[in-house]
Amino acid sequence: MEHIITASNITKKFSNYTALDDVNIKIPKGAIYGLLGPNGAGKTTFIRLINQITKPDSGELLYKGEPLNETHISKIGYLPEERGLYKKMKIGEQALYLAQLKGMSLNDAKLKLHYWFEKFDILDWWNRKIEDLSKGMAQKIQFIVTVLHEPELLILDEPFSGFDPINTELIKREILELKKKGTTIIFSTHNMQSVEEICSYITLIDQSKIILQGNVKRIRTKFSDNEYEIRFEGNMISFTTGLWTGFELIQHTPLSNTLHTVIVKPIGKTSINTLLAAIINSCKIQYVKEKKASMNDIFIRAVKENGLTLEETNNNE
Amino acid sequence: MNKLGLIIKREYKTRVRKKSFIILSIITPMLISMLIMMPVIIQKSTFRKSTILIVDNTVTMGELLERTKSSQFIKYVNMPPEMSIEEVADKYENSEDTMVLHLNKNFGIISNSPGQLYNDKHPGPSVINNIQDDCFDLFRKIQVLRLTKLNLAQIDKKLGTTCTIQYEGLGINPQVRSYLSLTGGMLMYLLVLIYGVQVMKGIMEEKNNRIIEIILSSIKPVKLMWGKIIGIGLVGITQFTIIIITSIIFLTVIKDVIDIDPSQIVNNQIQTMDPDGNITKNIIPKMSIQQLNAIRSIEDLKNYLPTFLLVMPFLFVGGYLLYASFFAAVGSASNPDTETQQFILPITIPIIFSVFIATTIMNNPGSDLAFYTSMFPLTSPVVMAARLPYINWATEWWQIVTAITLLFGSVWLSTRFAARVYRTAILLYGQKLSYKNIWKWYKQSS
Repeated sequence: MEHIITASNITKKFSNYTALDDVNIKIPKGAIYGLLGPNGAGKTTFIRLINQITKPDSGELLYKGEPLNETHISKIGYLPEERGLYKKMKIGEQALYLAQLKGMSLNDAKLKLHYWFEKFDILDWWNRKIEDLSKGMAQKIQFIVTVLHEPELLILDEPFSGFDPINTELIKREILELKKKGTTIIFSTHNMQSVEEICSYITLIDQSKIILQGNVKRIRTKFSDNEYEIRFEGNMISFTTGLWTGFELIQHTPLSNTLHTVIVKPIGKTSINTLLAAIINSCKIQYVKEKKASMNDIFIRAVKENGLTLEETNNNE
Repeated sequence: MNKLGLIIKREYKTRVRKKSFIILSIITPMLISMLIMMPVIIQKSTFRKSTILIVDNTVTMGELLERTKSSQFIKYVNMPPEMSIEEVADKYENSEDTMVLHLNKNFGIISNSPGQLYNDKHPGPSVINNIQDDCFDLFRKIQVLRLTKLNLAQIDKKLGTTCTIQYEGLGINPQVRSYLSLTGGMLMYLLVLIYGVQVMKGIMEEKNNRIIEIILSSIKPVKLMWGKIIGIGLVGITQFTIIIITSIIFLTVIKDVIDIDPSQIVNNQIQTMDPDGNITKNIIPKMSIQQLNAIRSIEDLKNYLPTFLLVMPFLFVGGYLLYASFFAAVGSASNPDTETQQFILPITIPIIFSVFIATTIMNNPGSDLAFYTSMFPLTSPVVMAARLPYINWATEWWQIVTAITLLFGSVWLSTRFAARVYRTAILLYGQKLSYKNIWKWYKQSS
């Protein structure tokens, strides 16, 4: 697998404070990569290292196999969490300025901006000032400015914060669109639901160290408690009889006299099919689903248990 | 365009297009011109011509006063000898502009006191002073006339009307020199402070609205800082240039105005205010002292301009860079909720102190304090600007060279210091702004 970013043994200290401690991260090309962690964990420091805003004290940082250098700046797009624009500058002018700073020519920037403004239906904003826009509107502009130069690597720090559900969907769609076109996306967030939805890999950092890393599906499976949720119509006593095939009842939620939702866990290696076969004649099954651990639970558990060995051994592979 | 160029262009364009920039650039030279022209304008607007009716007890003095001393301000009319003081007083009603002068019979011979002035109203002190000056001057000339065989016209020519001291060195008159000194010092103070503070505000704006993070993902922190300092400095130089050019235009226009205008006014007044209506001779109006001074001031300004244009840009660039770098360090270390006032004060103290020194320079340009503060980099931009009109190029050129060299040496150190603090502090939020922290960030950046 080709990696766009390879960070090996990265350490970064500020005075007596260690922001990143011997961190190793490999970001596969074309993936959406979640960078998770509580506040102050070291995520922003790592992002700043990729953006070359600061330099690591030790370790190696490679971009597509070559040491990170100034030529890579124009290939990276960065939308910081705490984002801002010049309040008194006209939007069009400001977007052109930021695009040129990313290395675009004036004409190219004008053409692309026109395309994005048209796409987001905001052409009439060109001569308005940021101070005249709402926060959500300003964030649209920031998103456009970030992706305008068509970066190979897009770093989004909490991209949905401050957006209403409609705009969140709009941005999510754009992110997935960019992924389709081959853009690699680093996605730093606390919003675990969006991680489940769009990330294929994650790294969880806590207190400057990596505590969990790998493929999202595999991590969720690994952290799942092997529980199943079943909803059925019928008699609870008949269902309970079926549990004798080797299952433990974890939770029962009666929805009406005849409608129930239950969570069961096999004892040993009993297959769920055994239970289903036992109850199929007496109960009408509406659905059965394996209860995977949510990323939220995994995040909380991992942070609480920080110090235990939670790392996936096959880093991202 | 390279990235540094882009930053400079943005910083420059956004500021130069502001209304406040345009207004300040036009208003400042207007104010400077007004200051120089104010005495003329006041004198013109309050101008009144006085008529002095002379009842002469001497033989010739009344006639001589009328013939030689009538001017655009005071017209002497020697009354016929048969008229007594009572008759004159009865015939001509006293007004503010007409008064009666009763000349003492000894005046011009053994006494220099002319006699009594009658007026029911209150003539202004300048009218009385003018009459006294005219009488004393005439007395002086009569004495010379007695001792020599010259006639009055020859005496006039020999003695001249004013007493002038020949100055060594620059030919600028002391009054103008003190204006230039004060204006130079104040201008430097304002430019350095205004633009230095703008650097700080610009940095604080970027840091506090968090655009800094986006910009720093495209350009190195130190380049951004330099872009800002250079861009804003260029705004200062532009403003400086506009102020100089518009000042020259204003002064030239005003000079033309004072050259022509008063003579018209004076001629009209002479004709309308003639009590008998039988004075037909054409009195050529002379210029007032204020007018003469204003015109001379403008000439002096023109002579001083080359020195000013040669040295001031160096002082401005050096002073601006020195202070802007301190302001940049404080700006980068600030936070939205921090009070920067206490950190601005120590930076502004030396520059405020230098303004105090600058105001004393016109009274004592050669003092040790003036010399040393014009060499010390933190005070030299303002103090040297104030000393500049007093500098004798032939013997004191080395002082300017030394001051500028020391200034730029300090700029080298201060910008290095600022760059190191800026690099670390610009991305730090929630840290207390303190001297200890600024020093820590400086060390960290090494």
